[in-house]
Amino acid sequence: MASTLIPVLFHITQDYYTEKGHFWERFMSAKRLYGGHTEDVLIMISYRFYKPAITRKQIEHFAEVKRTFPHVVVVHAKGVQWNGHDAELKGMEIPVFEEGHNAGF
Amino acid sequence: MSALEWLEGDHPRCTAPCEEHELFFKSLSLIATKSAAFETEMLSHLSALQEIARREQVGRDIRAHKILDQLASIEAKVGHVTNGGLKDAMMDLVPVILNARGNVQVESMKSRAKIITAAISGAAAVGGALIGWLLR
Repeated sequence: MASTLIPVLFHITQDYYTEKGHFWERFMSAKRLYGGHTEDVLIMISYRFYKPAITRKQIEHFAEVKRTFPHVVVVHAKGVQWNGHDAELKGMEIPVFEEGHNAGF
Repeated sequence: MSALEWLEGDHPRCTAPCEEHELFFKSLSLIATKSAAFETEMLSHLSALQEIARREQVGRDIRAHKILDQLASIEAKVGHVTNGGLKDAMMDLVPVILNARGNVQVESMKSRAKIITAAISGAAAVGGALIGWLLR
């Protein structure tokens, strides 16, 4: 029987852009925490607190997250400057939602 | 200058928004945002780990119940054996079988245990009849 996915939040804040290694530290922590359960969790990358301009580097980070965790979504995306990268996310099968938890799933 | 130093400092009373105040409130806002983000993120991790632990416990409970069912079944099969030594030997086999087959293979073990139990019971019955015939 399929179980409901367990939501896990990754907030994108200014630290993501200003602190070197911020992403990798958190990503590696998540890998360690959910190592045996990557199929069971839903990684929710949230722009609730920060609305940046998306860079190529960030798309590569998303791809890395997707390689480890099969279920990834982006939430609170309203106001983010995608610069065309949102199409790439959809290509990676990462749905983008403008709002949060109530954004249609 | 830290926020604390700034607060303790001697500041002229501002009659209009000043640059220093603006910077201070911007920093406060940034700290508040980071704090809220950290809090919700940590709570989501705690909640997720709790749910994973709960699901693992459910899995363990299911396996434990299967083993208990199996033990009850073996006990029911062995219960009618009247030879005390044989019965003890058969009961001693139970943990060995459980360990050998592993908790995951309880289902296949169940049928195997039934066969073993039936074979031992059959042999005991034949042996008993043979001894009874010889002693006659």
